Amino acid sequence: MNPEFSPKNDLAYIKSLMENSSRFMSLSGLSGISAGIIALIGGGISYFMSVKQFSSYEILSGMSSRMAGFPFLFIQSCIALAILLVALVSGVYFTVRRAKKKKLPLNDKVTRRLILSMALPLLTGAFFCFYLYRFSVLGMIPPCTLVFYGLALFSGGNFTHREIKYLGALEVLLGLIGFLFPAYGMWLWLSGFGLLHILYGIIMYQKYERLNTGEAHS
Amino acid sequence: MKHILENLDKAFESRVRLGIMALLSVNDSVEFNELKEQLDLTDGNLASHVSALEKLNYLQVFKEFVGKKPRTTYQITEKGKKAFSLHVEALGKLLS
Repeated sequence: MNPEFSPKNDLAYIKSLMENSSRFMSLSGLSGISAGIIALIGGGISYFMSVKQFSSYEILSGMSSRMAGFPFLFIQSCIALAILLVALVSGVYFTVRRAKKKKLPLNDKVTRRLILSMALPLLTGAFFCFYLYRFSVLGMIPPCTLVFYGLALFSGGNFTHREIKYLGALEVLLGLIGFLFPAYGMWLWLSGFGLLHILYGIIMYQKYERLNTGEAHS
Repeated sequence: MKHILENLDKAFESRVRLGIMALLSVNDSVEFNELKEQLDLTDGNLASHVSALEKLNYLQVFKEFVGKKPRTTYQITEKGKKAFSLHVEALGKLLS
């Protein structure tokens, strides 16, 4: 028998190889935290902007015809796109940083699989939300973004940390509640994209990144 | 204790072979260059370990041409899957 034989090291070696080659393990918890904070700030700005102009019923239901007019809708759309963009950039930043630190590949088969698996639900969602926007069914947009984003995470969970699946399922659940209670759409949106992201990010950071616990063998 | 040690596969005493099997077990098929990069090996080193595993029928080799470049891919066989999972199981038992 090999004098260096160590079942523990062998198993750890096998596990890290299998995970790195079939799952995208660089996804950083900090990406989740930053996306969540940005969503809270952006959502907050958008909410207080509407408070100044509209009655609380109009805001909560998001169905007011006055809201569909220029420039309010235009500004709100700009805020939404800005949140998306900044959250995406910050999310990618922390993940790339982690991949470099751990010397993991970024542009490989696994990354492509992860992106592909999320693309279909996300693009379908974007198309559907644009359709709602065009016909001014504005109140349905926040729950719709939650549902389709959740579906994307759920399917992406096959190719990255499994925990993403739970996050995805919770986002879908919040979205479905949003369909039943449109008046709470904004609060559910803030919970889903803000609080859940932050909570998830903290949990993942504690579990996988802080002091490198849990991945000491890679 | 002796019984458990018997389940350990001699073919997997080398880390490299263990690594090859681990990668093949979670991917449908893996290219030569991918294996080389992930395991951080030289061409010759990888080739000799791969052919040892091929002789045991633990993996299958596929050679094809993409344009003018030859491409070699590997797939795990049923026999290889069984041997690898028995070995991993035995490793796990040694720890418990």
